[in-house]
Amino acid sequence: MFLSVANFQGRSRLPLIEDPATIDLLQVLIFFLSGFHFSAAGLLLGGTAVSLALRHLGGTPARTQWAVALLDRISPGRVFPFLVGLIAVLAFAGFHLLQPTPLYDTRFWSLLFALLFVGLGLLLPYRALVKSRVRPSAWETVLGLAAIFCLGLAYFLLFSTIGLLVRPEKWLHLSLVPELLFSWHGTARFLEFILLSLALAGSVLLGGRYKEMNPPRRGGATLAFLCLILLPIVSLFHLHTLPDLALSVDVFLVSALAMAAAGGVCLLLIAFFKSSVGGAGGTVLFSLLGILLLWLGGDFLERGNAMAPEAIAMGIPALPKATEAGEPEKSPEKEADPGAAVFDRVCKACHRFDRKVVGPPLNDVLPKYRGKAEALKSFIANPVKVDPEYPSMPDLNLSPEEISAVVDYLLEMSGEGR
Amino acid sequence: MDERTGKILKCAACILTALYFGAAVLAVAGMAVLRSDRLQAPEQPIDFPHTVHVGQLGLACTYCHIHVEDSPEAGVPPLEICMGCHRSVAVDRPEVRKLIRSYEQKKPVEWIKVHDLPDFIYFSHKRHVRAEVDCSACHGDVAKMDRIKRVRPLRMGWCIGCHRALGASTDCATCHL
Repeated sequence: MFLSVANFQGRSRLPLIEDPATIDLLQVLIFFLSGFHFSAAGLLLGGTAVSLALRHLGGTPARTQWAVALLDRISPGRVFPFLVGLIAVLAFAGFHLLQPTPLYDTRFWSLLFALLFVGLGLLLPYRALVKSRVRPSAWETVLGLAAIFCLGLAYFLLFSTIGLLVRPEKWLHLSLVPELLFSWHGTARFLEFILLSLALAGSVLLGGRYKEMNPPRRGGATLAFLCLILLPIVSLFHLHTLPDLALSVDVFLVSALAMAAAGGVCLLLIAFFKSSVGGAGGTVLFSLLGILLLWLGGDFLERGNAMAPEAIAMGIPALPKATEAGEPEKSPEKEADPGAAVFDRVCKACHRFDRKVVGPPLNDVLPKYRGKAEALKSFIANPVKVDPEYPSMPDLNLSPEEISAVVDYLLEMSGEGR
Repeated sequence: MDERTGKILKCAACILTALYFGAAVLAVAGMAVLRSDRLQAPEQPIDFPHTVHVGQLGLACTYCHIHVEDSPEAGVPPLEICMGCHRSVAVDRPEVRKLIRSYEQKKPVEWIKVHDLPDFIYFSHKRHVRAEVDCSACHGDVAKMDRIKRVRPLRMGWCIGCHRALGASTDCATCHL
C-alpha cells in the first residue's frame, strides 16, 4: 500500500548528483542537520516527559518551578519546535537526494511528518498550561501525554524505517509483508534515542538555577546517570542484532568510543554527587551531545556499509504464478531460435558482432563466409589460429546440430538471406 | 556519613562505574573479533574476478554455473568450461596459470563456499531458478564483485520473508526435511 516497487530499478532515480565532492558535502550537511534535529528533538521529548513527571510526583510549588524552568530552557520560543521539525524535513529531503531507496511513498512520509509536527505542536499549549497553573490540570496531562505519544510513535517509526536501510533484502517485500518494517536493531536505536533524550533533559535540570539548588540538580544528575548506565546494554543489543553486512571495524570503534564517553560522563556525575560542583551541567550537556553525534555517526557508517552497490541491486522476483499448490515450476521452454541460444551460451563469451571482446568483431569476420556455410561449420568444429593479433579460438565441443544451428544464426545476422 | 567512608564510597562508585563501562567496551571488542570473520569476501585459491567475466565480458551466470536450472546443488563450473577460453586466452597471467596447472594435474580447485547453508537445510537451486527468482536477489550484484562476498543474511527470517511475499510454501518440511 505504501510502497511503489514498480519504480524501483535498483539504481539511483536521480542521476543529478554524481559529483563526488557534492555528494561528500551533502553527506556532511545531512549529518549536522540530523545531529541538530535529534539533539533538539531529544531535549524536547525528554524535557516534556521529565516536566510531566515533575508535575505529578509531589506537585509542590517548587517542582512546578523546576518544570517551568526546564521547559523554558529546552524550548526557547514558540517557533523552536517547528524549526526542529523543519530541520528534520530538510535532512530527509537531502538524504533522499543522495540515496533514493524504494522504501515508502509520499503518503507514508507525509503521515510520519504530520505525526511529528502534531507532537511538536502539542508542546506549545502544554507549556502554556504548565506555566499558567500551580497544580497540574487534566488538560495539561492529556496534552503532555499526547505530545509524548505522538513524538514517541513518530520516532519509533522513523528509527524502524532507518533500520530498514541496512536490510536491502527486505525492501522488495515490504508491500506484501508490511511487518518487515520492524526490526530489533531499529527498536534498539529508538531505545538509545529515548535514553539519550532523558539524559539530556537530566543534564538541563542539572545546569539550571533554582531557589533551592540541590534537589532538582541531584534529580537531574540521577536521571542522566541512570540513563547512561543503561545505554551500553542497549548499544550492545543493537550491535548484536545488526546484520553482518552493516558491520565494520569503524562501527565497533564508534560504539566503543560512545560507551567510553558515557563512562566518563558518569564519573563526572559521581564527582558532582559527592561535592555538588558547579558548572557540571554545561559539561554534561555538551558531552551528551558529543555522545549523540557519535551515535549518529555510527548510524551513518552502518548504512554506508550495508548499502554497498552490490548489495542494493537485486533482481525483481516474478509475481506469484497461479500454479497448483505444491507443484514445482516446469523447465523453461527452449529458445525459439536454437542458433541464438547456442550463441548466447557459448560464443558470446568472446564474440560480439560490433566490437572486439576476446575474438574479432563478427561483422568483420562473417562477410568472408557469406555463401560458404560449410566452410564456417568446419572452422567452428576445428578452429585454427588465423589472425596473429587474436588468441586462438578454442575447440568448443559443439555437436554437429549445434554448429549447424549457430552457423545459420550467424549468417542470418550478417545479412545473408536463407 | 563521615569523610573517610564518603571517600571510600566515592572511590568504590568510581571504580565500579569504570569497571562496568570497561566491561562494556571489552564486550564491543569481543563482538568485533567474533563477527569479523563472517562472510566478508574470503580469499579464494584462484583470484577469479566476476567483475571481468560478468561485468566486462557480459557472460551469463548460466554460462559457467551450468546446473543451476536442473539440480538442487548449484555447484561451481568444471575446469573444462574455464579452459574453453583460457586454453589460449590470458595464459600469461599468474592466476590463469594456476588454473591451467590444476587442469593438467586433474585436481579440482578447492573453492571456499561463500553461500553456505547448514547441512540440515534442504535448499534446491533449481526450484528457485525455475520460479524466476533473479540471481541477484540472493547473490547481489555479482558483476560488481572482485571477490565474491555474501550480501544477504541467508538466515531463516530472510528466507521466510521472501516465501511469504511471493506465496511459496512456508511449511517446515519444505526446507527442514
